[in-house]
Amino acid sequence: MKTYLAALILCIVMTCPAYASDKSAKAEAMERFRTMAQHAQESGDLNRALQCWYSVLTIEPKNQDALNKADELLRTIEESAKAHFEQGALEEKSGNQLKARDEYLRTLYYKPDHAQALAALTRSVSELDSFMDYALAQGDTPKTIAKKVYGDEAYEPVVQYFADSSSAVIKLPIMSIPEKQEEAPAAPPVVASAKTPDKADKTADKPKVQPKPDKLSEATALFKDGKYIDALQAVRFILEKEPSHPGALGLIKKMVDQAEVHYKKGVGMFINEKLLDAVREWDITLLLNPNHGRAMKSRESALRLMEKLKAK
Amino acid sequence: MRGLLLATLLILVIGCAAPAVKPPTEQRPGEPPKIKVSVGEVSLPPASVVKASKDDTFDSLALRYLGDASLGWYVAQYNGLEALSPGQVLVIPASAQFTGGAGPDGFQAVPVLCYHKFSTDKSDKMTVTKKDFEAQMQFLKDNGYTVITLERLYDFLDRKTLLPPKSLVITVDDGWRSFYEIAYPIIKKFGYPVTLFVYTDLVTGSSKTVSWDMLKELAANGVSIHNHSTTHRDISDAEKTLGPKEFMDVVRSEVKDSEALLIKKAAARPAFFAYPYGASTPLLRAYLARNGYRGAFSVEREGNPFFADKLNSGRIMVFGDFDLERFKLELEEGSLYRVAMQ
Repeated sequence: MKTYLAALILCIVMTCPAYASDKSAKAEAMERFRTMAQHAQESGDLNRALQCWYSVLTIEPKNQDALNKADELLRTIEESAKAHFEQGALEEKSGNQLKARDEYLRTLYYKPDHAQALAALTRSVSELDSFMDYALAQGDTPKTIAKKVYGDEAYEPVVQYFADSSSAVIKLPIMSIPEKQEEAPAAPPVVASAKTPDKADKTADKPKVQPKPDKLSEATALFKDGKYIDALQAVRFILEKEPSHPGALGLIKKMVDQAEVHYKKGVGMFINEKLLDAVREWDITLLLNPNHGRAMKSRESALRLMEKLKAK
Repeated sequence: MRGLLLATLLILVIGCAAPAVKPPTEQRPGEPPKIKVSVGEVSLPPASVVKASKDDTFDSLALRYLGDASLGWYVAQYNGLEALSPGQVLVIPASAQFTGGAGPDGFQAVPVLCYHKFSTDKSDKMTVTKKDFEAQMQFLKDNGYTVITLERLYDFLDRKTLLPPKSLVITVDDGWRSFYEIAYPIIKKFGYPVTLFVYTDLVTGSSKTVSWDMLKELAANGVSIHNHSTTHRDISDAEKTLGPKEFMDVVRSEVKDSEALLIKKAAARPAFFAYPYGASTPLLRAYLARNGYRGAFSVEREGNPFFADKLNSGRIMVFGDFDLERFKLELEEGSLYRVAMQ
């Protein structure tokens, strides 16, 4: 009797319209998520695919097909994120900021909350930094800080404005200070591309072979004549012999500054719709500073625009 | 015993006879279920299973489950739906994870359009005709673009919110009267938010320029008014020719004098800066940051992904000779930061 009644209740519940409607609506939603997951996976959007399988599991937690698919995707996503993050770190170490940035972005594509990739991305986009930290030392005055940080006491008003006397570490604006002519270049304050990472350390103990004394003059003259490729070759020759050669490093800094000039010229050309001229300027920018992210992106953008305009 | 069973049956039958769709039917997230996979035990992201009622919209569901009605598009996209029908089952996550709009081709970027002058008849490089401007605004409406405020863009850059695909910002520079007379009525008709970057020396109320009363009226009507310097000089150029002290004075007067006037005479709250000629220097950017500016704009023709430089964000100048095809191209280019993910 009891079994009969239980079966009867089950029959009534399963055939009742609300239950049937609920079941079919859930089935329809699961099918929708399944289809979306397949499309997302086919187009390479693995996170979206995983999100869809998670949705299926939210509706039906023991759905074996969804569990298998989520398992497979989770593994692929973990492995891809790890590989891209490691590649990013390698690129960053080698001084390839743009490649590093793209690798960190790929990491974040796979794992949007990857904290290390996010921190590294910020680090790799040097333009994001407006300030540098300066730890106050005993006896520091705005004048001495200006000299230390910017290489010129005349920057005292800048230090005065930005310094917060209540803190042991002050935030000072990162500036590209124009070098005075005829002066031996001081260690540049903050110029990303003037770094010679690792290479300098590795060769520091080797006996220094002095380049010919006129090689720097030759490089400088070539640079002034706008023969940038030859100037770069000459300066590289000096740095191979002596990686921390102050004159050569100073010239590289000038090249980085000059890159900015060409970048801005390119922007002007681009605004005036001289796309080809803009691309030429950005080619020069990248020659002088291969880590100039904005030039790289602007150049790509101009080339795409030219192609699309041609197709019009 | 028999009586109890009959009563149970009666309750069940009555329950089933009720309308099939009841607002709102839901399964709220409790402890997120865990799934066992080869990489270990993984918690499913907390989410609600919701059966839509006849009064629900994507926006109302977004408000109820995500606390933000502007995320209605996200609920729709998450569920792969374009329209909502009563009885439909949706999965709504407990929070919208910030992804920066990542997809297989790259990251979402937000184009910020930059206009200057408008005219009823003639166009030139910096002047867009009324007819063209209206067609551009109509294009945005017809093609699923969402015009957002500057504040929302910066919430995105601060990783605080997601934005619908095809989001953009409209800005107008300088303070020419043609904005007030020609462009603003069109923008108002479409209900788009707009930002006006004003350089205060131009605010003379002449036949070609806006007056302070006009600016006050625009601000009262929801136009967001921000700083475009005092004199519109190329501040970056001054750094090359002046010493550090003199340059600091220039920066101070170009930023703070105009800021004070905008607050006092236009009841504006300037929090964004548009560099004259789009040109800035590290010191100028640092000065703005130090003075609480949330963002600043160049005229570098690029959209802004979530990791864009907030003190040197890109803008796309719209010129008078743009046809709709070119306008569309610029929007498409500005809406994606390309990175091949494979």
